[in-house]
Amino acid sequence: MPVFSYLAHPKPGQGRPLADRLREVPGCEVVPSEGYELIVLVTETEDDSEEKLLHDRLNSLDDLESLAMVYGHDGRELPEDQL
Amino acid sequence: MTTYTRREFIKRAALQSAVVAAGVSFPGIVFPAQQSANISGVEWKKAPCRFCGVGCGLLVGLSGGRAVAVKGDPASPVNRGLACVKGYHVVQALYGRDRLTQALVRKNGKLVPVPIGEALELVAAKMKETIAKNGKDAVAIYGSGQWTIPDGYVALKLFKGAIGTNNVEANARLCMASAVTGFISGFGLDEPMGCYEDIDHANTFVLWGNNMAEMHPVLFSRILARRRDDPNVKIIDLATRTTRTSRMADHSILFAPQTDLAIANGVANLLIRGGKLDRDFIAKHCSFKQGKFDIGYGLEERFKFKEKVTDSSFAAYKALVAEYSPASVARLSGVSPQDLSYLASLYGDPNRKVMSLWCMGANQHTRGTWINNLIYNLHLLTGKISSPGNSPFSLTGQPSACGTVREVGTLTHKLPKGVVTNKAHRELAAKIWNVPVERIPAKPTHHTVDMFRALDRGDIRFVWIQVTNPMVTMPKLNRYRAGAKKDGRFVVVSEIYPTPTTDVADVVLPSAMWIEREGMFGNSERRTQHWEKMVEPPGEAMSDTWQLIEVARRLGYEKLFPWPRETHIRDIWNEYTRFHDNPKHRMAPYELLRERPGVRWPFVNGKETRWRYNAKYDPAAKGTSFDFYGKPDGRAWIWLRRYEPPPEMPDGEYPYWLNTGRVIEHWHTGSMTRRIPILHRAVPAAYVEINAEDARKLAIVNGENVRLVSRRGKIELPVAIDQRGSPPPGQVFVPFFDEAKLINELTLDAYCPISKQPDYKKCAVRVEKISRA
Amino acid sequence: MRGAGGKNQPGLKAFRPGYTFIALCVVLLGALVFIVGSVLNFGGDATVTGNGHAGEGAALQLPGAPPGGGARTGRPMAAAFRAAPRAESAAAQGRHLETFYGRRAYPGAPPAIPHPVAQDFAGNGGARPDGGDGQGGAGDCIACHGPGGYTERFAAYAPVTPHPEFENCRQCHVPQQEASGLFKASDWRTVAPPPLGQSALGGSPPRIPHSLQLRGNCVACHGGPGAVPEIATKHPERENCRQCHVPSQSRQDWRRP
Repeated sequence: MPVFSYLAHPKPGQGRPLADRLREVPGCEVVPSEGYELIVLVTETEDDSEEKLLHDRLNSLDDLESLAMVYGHDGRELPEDQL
Repeated sequence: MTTYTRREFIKRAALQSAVVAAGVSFPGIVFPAQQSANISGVEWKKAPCRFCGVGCGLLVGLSGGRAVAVKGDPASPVNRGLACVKGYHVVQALYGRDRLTQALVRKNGKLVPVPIGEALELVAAKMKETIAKNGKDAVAIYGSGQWTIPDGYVALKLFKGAIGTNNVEANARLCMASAVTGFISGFGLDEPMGCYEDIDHANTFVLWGNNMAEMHPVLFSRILARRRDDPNVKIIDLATRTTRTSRMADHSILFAPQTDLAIANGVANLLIRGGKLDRDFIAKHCSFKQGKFDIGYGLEERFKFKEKVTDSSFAAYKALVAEYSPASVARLSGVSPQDLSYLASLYGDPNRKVMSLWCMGANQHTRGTWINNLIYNLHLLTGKISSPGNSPFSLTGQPSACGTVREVGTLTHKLPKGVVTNKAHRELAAKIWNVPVERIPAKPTHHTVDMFRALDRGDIRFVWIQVTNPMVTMPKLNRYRAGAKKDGRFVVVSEIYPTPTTDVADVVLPSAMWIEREGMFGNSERRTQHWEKMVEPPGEAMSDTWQLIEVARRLGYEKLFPWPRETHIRDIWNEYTRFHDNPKHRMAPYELLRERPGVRWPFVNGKETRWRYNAKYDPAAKGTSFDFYGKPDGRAWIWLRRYEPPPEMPDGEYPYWLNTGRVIEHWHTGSMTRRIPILHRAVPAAYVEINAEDARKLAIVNGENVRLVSRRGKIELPVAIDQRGSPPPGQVFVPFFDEAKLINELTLDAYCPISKQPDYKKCAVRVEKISRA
Repeated sequence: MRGAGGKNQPGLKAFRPGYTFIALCVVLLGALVFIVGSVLNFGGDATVTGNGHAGEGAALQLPGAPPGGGARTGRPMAAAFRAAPRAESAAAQGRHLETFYGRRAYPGAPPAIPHPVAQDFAGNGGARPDGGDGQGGAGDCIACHGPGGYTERFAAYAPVTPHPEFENCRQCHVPQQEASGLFKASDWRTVAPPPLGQSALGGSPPRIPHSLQLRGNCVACHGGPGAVPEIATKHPERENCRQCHVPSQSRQDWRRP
C-alpha cells in the first residue's frame, strides 16, 4: 500500500489542464493551490509494480514540469510497539 | 467519534506534509483547504510592479487599510520571488506627504483646490468650447505606458470613437516607437515572438546598448543565474559607455554612438562570408526588402515621409553588407576586427542559442527602426528566432508600454486592432463601439513631438496629460514648455504628486494610483497582469479611467461609457478584448486574469503561446515549421539598411557626446521614487559622468560643479568620474530623473523619421569649468 | 479510495483518535525537518522530473526557488558559523535590533547598505576573472559578505549574505547618503516587526516568525559576526536549526476534517 505525496509543478500556465489530467489518473488525489501554480498530489497504489506503472503514467504528462516528493510510505506496517 | 483507518491517516499525513512543504518553499501560496495562512496580521495580494516593463509579480502586504510591505511573488514566472530595490519599496510611493488629494484649478495664476466635480465640469466645458471654436482636432490627450489597459482604452474610445479626432498619443512614443516599427516592418505584427523563458534556454546573451543590470535588473539576475548553472553561457555587453552591466558581462565591447548600425551590418557580412547562414531557413522563410535610405531626421516642421518599399534580393543584400568589412567597421565604430568576428562567431555557431536584448539604446535613435531591423536580420540569417532560446528580444521600459500603448493602440495612427488608415480596421472599431464609421478619421494627426509642436503653434488648444511628466521628459524642453504656457492653451494634468508638468497645468486632477484602483498592465513578454483595488485612494483622488468616464458623460457620451463603477474594469476588458478575438492575439478572460500571476497572449484553447510564428508552439502558425503570418507573403523581412551619421555630432564648439538615461534607483522623472526615502537617499541628485582623462584635461575633479552647454540650453551639474558608469573619452552621461537639473533642456528633438521616436542618447555639448571669481 | 484498503475492510487496524493527533504531529515534524530540506534543495533523490526534460537544467528548477536551492540548514551553516570570527562583533559595535530594523523600510525589506560603496562596482562581479572590480576580486561584496567577519576596510563586522547565489547585489541593496535628507516628507507606516521569543510553552524553542524567502540561511542574521545580540542564537553549537525552530504557515489549529 505505497502512499506518496508530491508537489507537482505545472508548466507555466498549464496548472488547470494538469490538474484535470491528474484527476483522471486512478489512485491520484489532487489538491491545487488557488492560482494553480502548484498542485499537491497524493498517490496511493496497491503494490510496487502498480506504483511503477503509475510513475510511468505521471512521467508521460506533457504539462508537468517537475514532481518533488514530500512524503513517502512504502506500505510496510510497523509493529505497534515501534510507533 | 470517527476513527481513522491507517490508510486514511497515512494519506492525510502525506497531504498535510505536502501542503506545509509547499508553504515553506513558496511563501504566500494558498490552498483552498488551508485558507489564507497569515502569521502577523498582514494580508498579501498580488499585483504587477508599478515600475518597469519587466512586469515582476509582487505580493503587497496589507494591514489596517494600508500597504505596509512587499514580497516578490514566488508564483510569478517572471521574477520567481525576486524583485529589485524599486519594487521592494514601491508601496512607499503611495505615501508621500505632498500627495495630491484634491482637484486644483488655476485662478488668477494660482492653483487653488476645488471639489473634484467642479474640476471635471470645467474640463468638460473647456473641451466643448475648444471643439466648438477650433474644431475637434484642437483637443488632444497625451498618456503613457503607465496607463493601465482600461485607462488607455477609455481614452482612445473617447477621443477617436466619441469626439472623432486622432489626437491620441502616449509617452511610449518616446520609448517604444522604434521597437514597434521594427516589428511591423520585419514581421507585420507587434511584440516579441519569444518570451522570458528564452533566458532559461539560451546560452548566449548579446546586449545591444542595454544597461540591463540597472534597467531590467530582475531579468538580468535571471541571466546571471543561468550563467551560474552553465559555464558555457556568455554575456556580451555592446555599449557606448562602461556600466555595471559591462562589469558583470563576460565581454564588453565599446562602440562610438550611432555605429551600432555599422556593427550589425558588419556581423551580417562576416556571417555571409564565413558561410554561417541557415540557408534553408532564409530560402523558406525570409524576403529581402529595401526601403528609402535618405529619410532625414525629423527636425523639419510638418515633416512628410513615406517609406517606399521595393523587393530586393540576397545578392543585393550581400553587396550592401560587404561595404561593412571589419576594417571599415573598426574605422567607424572603434570596434576591433577581433571583437567583430567574435560577435559573428557567437551568432554563427550552430551550437549557440542566442538572445539579443535591447531597449532604449536601440530605440531612442534617429535610425531606431533600422537598428531594430538590423538586429532581427542577424537572427533571421542564422535561423535563430521563434524557438526556445533563440530570441531577438525587445525589452520595454514601462509597465504597460506593451499592454496599453501598443496593444490598445493609444497612438495617433492606431486602433486596438490595426490602424486608422485601414477601412476594415475602422469598421471593426465602429462596430464594437457602436458609432458611425465616418466618425473615426482615416488620417493620423500628430505624433508626440509634433503634438507638442502643434500646441506651441496653436493647432492644438486643449491637452489632457495623464500619468506622465512631459515637462521633464520632452527633448529640447525649453521650446515645449514655453508652448504649453502660451495664452489660449488649456492644459489638464492627472497626477499623484506636484511635478513640473502640474506647474504648467490649468486644472490638476488627483489620481488614484496602482493598487488604489483595479487595473491591468501588459509587460514585455505579452503577459497581461491584473490587480484588484487593495487600499482606498487619498482624499478625492480618482482613477484615470474613471476621470475620463466622468468627463465623457459630461460631454454627452454616456451611452458609449455605460459601465457601472463596481464592474467597469471587467466590462471594459470584455469590450476591449473583442478587438483581439482571433488566434493571433486572443486575450485571456477576466476571471482567469484575476486568478493567475499574468497570462500571455495569444491565449488560444486555454493555452498561452510562448513562441509565435513556430507551428510547434503557435496554433495560429500553419504548416509544420515557421509561418511568419504577419506578412502577406508569410515571410519575415530582412531589410537592407545602412549606417547614417546622426544629425548632430561633436565638433570644435561642442566637442562632447551627451548621453542620457536612468539609474536603477529612480523611475523616469523621479516623481514617485524621489518620494521613497531609501531611493532618494541612494541617489539624491543628478550628476554628469565624465571620463577621467577628459576631466584631467579640463582640470576638474570629482564632485566639482561644471556647466554643460548645448545649442539648446545649459545646466550646472556635479561631476562623477569613474563612478556608477564610465563614459569613454569624448562622452558624458547625465540621468534625467532630477527635475532640478533638467537635462532635456539640452537634448535634441531629432527623431527616427519612421517611428518618430526622439534620440535622447546623442547630441553635442561642451563642458565648461566654472571659474570661481 | 479504491482497492483493498477501504475503511470497512476487515483486518485493518483502526486508530484511536488520541494517538492520531500525536502521531500526526510526529509525522509532520518529521516531514518538516527531514523532507522539507530535500524538497528545497531539489536535485536530490526526491525530485522526479517530468517527461522529456532531462538536460534542460532550468526545467528542473521550481519557479520561486532561488537558483541553487533556498534553505541551507545544518552542517554547512554551522561550518560557516564556526569559520567566522567569534568576536563580540555586532554588539561591540553598538549594533542592536533597532539598528537592524532601522535599515529596512519594513520587516523583510532588503536592507540599505550602511557603509560607503564605490559607485563603480556592480556586485559580485559574476564570471569576470577580476571579480568585476578591477582589484582582483578583493573588492566585491561577497569578499566580505561571503565569509563574514571583521573587515579592516570599514572597521566593522560584516554579516553573511543569506543568498550568495544572487550576483547583482545592488539590484536590491543601495547605499544611503543620509545627509541628503528627504526629497519630500513621507507618511509611510509599516507593521511592527514580529515579537521575539514566540515559544508555545514558555521554554520551548521559539517558532520562526518570518518568511524564509531569500532568508533561508539562518546564520546570516542569527549567528556569526553580523548578528545583533537580540536575535543571535544562544546555542551556535547546534547544527540543525530547523530541528527545533519551525515556521508557522497557519494560525488555525488543526481540526478534524
